[in-house]
Amino acid sequence: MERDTSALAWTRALLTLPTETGRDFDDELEAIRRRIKAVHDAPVTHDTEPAGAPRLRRDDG
Amino acid sequence: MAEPYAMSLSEAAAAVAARRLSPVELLDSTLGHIERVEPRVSAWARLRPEGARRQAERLGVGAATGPLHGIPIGVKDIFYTAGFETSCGSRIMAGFVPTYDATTVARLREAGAVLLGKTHTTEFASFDPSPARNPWALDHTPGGSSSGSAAALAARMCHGALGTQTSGSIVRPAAFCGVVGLKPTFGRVSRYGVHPLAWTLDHPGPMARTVRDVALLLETIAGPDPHDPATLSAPPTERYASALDDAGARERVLRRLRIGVPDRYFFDGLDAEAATAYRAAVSALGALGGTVRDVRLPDLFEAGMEAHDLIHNVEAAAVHVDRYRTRAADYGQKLRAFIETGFQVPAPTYVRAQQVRTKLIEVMHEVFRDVDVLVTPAAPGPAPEGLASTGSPVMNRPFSFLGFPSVTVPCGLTRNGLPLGLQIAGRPFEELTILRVAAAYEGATSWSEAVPPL
Repeated sequence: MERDTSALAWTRALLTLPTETGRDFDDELEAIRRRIKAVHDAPVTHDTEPAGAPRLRRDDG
Repeated sequence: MAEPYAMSLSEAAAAVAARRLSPVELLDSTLGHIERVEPRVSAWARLRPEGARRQAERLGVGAATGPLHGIPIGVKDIFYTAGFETSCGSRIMAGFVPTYDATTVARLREAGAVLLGKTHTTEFASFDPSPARNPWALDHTPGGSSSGSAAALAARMCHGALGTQTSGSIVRPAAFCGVVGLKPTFGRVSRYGVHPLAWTLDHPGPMARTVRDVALLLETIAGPDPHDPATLSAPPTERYASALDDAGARERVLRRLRIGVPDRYFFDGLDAEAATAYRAAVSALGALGGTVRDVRLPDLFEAGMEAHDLIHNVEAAAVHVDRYRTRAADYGQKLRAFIETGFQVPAPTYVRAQQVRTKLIEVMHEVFRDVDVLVTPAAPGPAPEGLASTGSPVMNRPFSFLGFPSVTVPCGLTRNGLPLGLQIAGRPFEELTILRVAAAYEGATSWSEAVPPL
């Protein structure tokens, strides 16, 4: 899959990352692509609460 | 009596408590041994012999402070230690001296432990290896990221240690080095003062040479901490070590224990010798009184592992983004790749990955209705040759993702003399169950008694 260089440039600009960011690591990005597909193919309904939601407690102070 | 440095933590603690051994004698024996073996093993990022000696001298003249009175401990170099450098295996953090202790370190000190030094970690507990070597074969990795903690324990250079696990960083190095490592339930042990790798996956935990020693460390460091909200809703901790001493309770638990053997995933690419050792270990557990059952892992299991890796990736990128702007060149190549690819994962994908996690936790609770523990190999094989990588965390990653507790106990040696580990995982906050099973296995075999040929 071709990488969208405009998307990379956008991310780089938004996060003010070094100019060389996103130019290497093609093999690693291919693994990321596979993982992203697997996660979006997984059967998860929209009412599933994402893990990592806040853990609140009453403030007794 | 064994040389003090070679005693288990529990033996040394009992000897100090009975005043058969002073904290200074124990420290001197340990430091003397470090002098002999550390040049070959490179387990320590830095030692503090003078500070440790002052502490041991104080402990030697005072009343007993706690269950770890005078015990030399190694701490992975991502735990903050007040007044003592914490560099996280990184050029970026070199020279950083925290002003406070991580909660776990503070609890060890309160219990009387002597902080011997900081053990090597891979860079920021990720992938770029540390200089540590495997005491069983110096040209093999000790695993990572808690590389130095595992190597120091195996080489008898400390009696207990702290590690952290985000994918497989406690259990894998412990297995590769032939020691015991426990990844507690997420929320059982405070993360406060531990440099993060990925906030929702990071688990601090104890490592030692015996299951009882790990239990003693766990009961010292576990429990609620106002600085870590994940710990506040956890059920009360237990007296894990003394519970293990209750042979009657152990036998009762073992008699009705249901031991689950997964149907897949954990056997992909498993080394032949590791497979043989694993099967023998399962048989041994069955012979102790438990019932062995086959377990079908949920269909979602593999997608969960992909979700784990994405969450790990994105959170690590978020941890490092600010420093990365100005210090990118000071990161190792593997962590650079990890951070940069983390920037490329869409935000909705991260949320979806956390939803997959919720679903998998839900269905794994159902799996644990039919069994009390799952047993698996602790690694795909023995420690790989070479020091450029730290081996694969695939066997341990599922329990880091789920947050369920897991422990490794030595279960064999390969023909080349490298240790193998058995991983035992349980329900959330049931550390005592997996410790009991591990202790029963350890007691029925002699693998934990093997010593590296240094």
